[in-house]
Amino acid sequence: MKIAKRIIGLTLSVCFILSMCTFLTGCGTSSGGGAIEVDNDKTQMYVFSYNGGVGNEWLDETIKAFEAKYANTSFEEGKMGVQIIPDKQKMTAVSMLDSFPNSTYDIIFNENLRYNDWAAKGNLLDISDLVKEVGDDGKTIESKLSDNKAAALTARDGKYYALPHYEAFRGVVYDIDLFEENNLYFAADRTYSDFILSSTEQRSAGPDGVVGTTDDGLPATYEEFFKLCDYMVQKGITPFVWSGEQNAYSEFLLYALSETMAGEEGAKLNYNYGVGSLDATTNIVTHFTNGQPVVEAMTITEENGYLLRQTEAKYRALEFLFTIFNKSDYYYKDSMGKLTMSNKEAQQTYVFSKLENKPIAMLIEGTWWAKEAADSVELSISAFGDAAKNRNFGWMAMPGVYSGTVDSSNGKTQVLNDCMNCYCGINAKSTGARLEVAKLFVKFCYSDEGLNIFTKSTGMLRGVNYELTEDTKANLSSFYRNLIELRNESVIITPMSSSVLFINNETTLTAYESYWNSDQYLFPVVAFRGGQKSAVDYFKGMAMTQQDWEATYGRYINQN
Amino acid sequence: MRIVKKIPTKKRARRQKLGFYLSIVTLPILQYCIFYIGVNINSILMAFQSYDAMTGEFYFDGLVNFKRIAYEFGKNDQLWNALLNSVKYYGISILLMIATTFFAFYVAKKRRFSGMFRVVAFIPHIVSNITMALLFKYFTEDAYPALVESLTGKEVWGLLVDPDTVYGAIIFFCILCGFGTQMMMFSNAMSAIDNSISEAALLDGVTPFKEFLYIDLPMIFPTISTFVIVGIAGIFTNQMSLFSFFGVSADPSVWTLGYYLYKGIKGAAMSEYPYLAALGVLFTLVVVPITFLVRHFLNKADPTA
Repeated sequence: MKIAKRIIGLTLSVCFILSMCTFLTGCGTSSGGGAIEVDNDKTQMYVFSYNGGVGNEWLDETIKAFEAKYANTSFEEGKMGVQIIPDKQKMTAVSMLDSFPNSTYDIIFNENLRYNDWAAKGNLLDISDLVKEVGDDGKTIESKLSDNKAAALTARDGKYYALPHYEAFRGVVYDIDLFEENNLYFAADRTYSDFILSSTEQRSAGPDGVVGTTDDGLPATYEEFFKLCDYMVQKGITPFVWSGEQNAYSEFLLYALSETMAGEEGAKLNYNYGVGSLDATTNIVTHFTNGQPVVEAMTITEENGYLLRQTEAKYRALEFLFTIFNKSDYYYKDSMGKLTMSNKEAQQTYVFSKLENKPIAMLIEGTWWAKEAADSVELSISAFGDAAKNRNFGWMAMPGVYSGTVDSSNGKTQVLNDCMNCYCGINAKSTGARLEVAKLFVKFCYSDEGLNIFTKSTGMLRGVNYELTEDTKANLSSFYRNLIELRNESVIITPMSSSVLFINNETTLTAYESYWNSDQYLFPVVAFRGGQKSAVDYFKGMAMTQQDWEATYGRYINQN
Repeated sequence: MRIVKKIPTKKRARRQKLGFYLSIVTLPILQYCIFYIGVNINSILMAFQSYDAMTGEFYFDGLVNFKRIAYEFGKNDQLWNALLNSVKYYGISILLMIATTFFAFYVAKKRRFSGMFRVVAFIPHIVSNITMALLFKYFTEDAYPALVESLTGKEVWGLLVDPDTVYGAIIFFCILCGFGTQMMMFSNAMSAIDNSISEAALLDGVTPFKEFLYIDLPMIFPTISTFVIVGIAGIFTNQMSLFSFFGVSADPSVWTLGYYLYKGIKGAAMSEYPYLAALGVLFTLVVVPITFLVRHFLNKADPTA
């Protein structure tokens, strides 16, 4: 009996120890990239890539090209070539903040990565040398960064700790085919009709006031936009659809509108509070007379940063949203707060709408939508055949003027906010051969070859400037071609600055919260639903007093 | 030949026992030290610190976070509203607990369909919370408006979107999910009561209601008081499944303090951590004396003591 007990005890102990070993092995394998077998004849380097909107096919293709390039290079004695082991998970940057330095990963590609926190924590290697080094394509990575991006990335201490992973904007997708078929463009000559009567008729100059650009024929003022919506409704077209589940999606329109109306320097004020600004003057709503805002041009500094919650651009954007949300003809019913209307469902509804003869003209989304909606497009092709193939969607230019006529003298250049905080960085604790390979891999990703691999696979841009090859262009969907054209005519801003005030409070400074008596609203859509609050009420509720401003942010003011 | 069995010495036996004991408890104790004691000490220290986003350093900054909390409570009705929602939910859960004891009595006495009730009430606990939330969401947002429209022809919002019904719907969900545990605990506690007591009561002509009121309820008082005490500790941490339904964008009118903290941490930059840590410390300072006070009174009122 005792022997039996001992055998059972021993067996249990062995099982326990083995299970511990399995657990430990699992950890290593998981962080090391799942089922990929380590090739001991090569030098390994580990890459984490968030499995989100842009997918990870681009990473597989980049790895293939990189491994082939360095197949005959030795980085360690007795080894030849490199093996890049990717780990593609949905692990957020926030959850990795503490664990990343001691993880297996040498490189991270992630979104919503708080650059300042990561850099300050010492998680990311200073890659300034790498960014300023001339690459195989004869260019430095720095030369590919726009001035805005370079300034944003070096705003902390003049050093580069990460590079843009992919560029993403919030705003509106429009169905170009639907617009063309229904002549939904404004005419240059309005004698007979505001809208073109045939597809060959000349279109208006659009929001930028310049003829011959991507935005021609699109509404140039807010008034024109509503005219377009009415025209759509007349034709049996629903203007908008968006995700009812996540209120933040409806805000995308708000940001897109207000940033273009505020202009480049005006939109950047939300992040720099006048620090390093070329023009810190913006229109502030001082009060309302007969329901109309009275504005005054004011210079923004960190001392009066609270005024930025009362800009004319923000009010007009809120008013726009209020108008849309309070006309049930203007939107797809489920968008107005149906919690089961996810972003994927909104995409599918949009893709299918034209094919099912219940057309919806515009989808409030992010530029990553096309990759996410690929399944819906496939599904539509299997259901509707050829009619669902080769469809044309575009990224809508937003009007930057409230009313009146727009020409080259008052047209507004689109301001696109690369807002997703998507970055690529190297682990500060990487050393030796792995660090050497990591640096080469980043360099390769940002070489013209690597950048084209990325765009060809995802359709999206890296967030740096580069020439697309003919092969890449040929592979782009019409949506991304349109987006890239519009982007090239626009100004790109990044939600970063060197302001100590902003760096220390970036999560609380840019919100559209509104306090109205004892009610607090985080999202305008909730307040506007059923007309609970007007745009004026919501806007007034956004105001902050100087006393509150000083009490909350006083210690960070003028610290630059 | 006689085999002489080696008898382990006392010392050796003790060493063996100690080795066994250590192999079992070392890992949990280590885990407890790091993830409970360490984390809490860190939170307490952080409550008195500020974060410099430029250097990435935390530094001691006196009571600045507590002053900010006082300021926020002074000007922000939402924090008071969150506190009210938390307390309201606690009150409702106590009322529910009383109702649950009736049900538990029915189950414990093995009346008709009691086995089925036990299983049905426990189903929400077998299914994960997120799945239950998803099912509930589809019911309130898809099925309910469709049902109302088909019956009355009126278009209505989903229960979780309509500002007039959202809090009630959330409370209902929490009750649905919390009911099973309480019912199981109470019915098990009642089942443990000596049968001879019930039988004696029955012989004395006691009705089932009186049996419940004068025998079962007093005898499961320690279980009830445990729920009451644990519930108080949960006032500041319970987030009423709001995250499962709304992510970080729940309407402020339904926030609880637990959700406020959770949401804060989820979306915060490092510089917000000290404020949230101070809030946590403050909540602890409030809840600890209340918990002990209630415990003291419940111990005094315990008829089984």
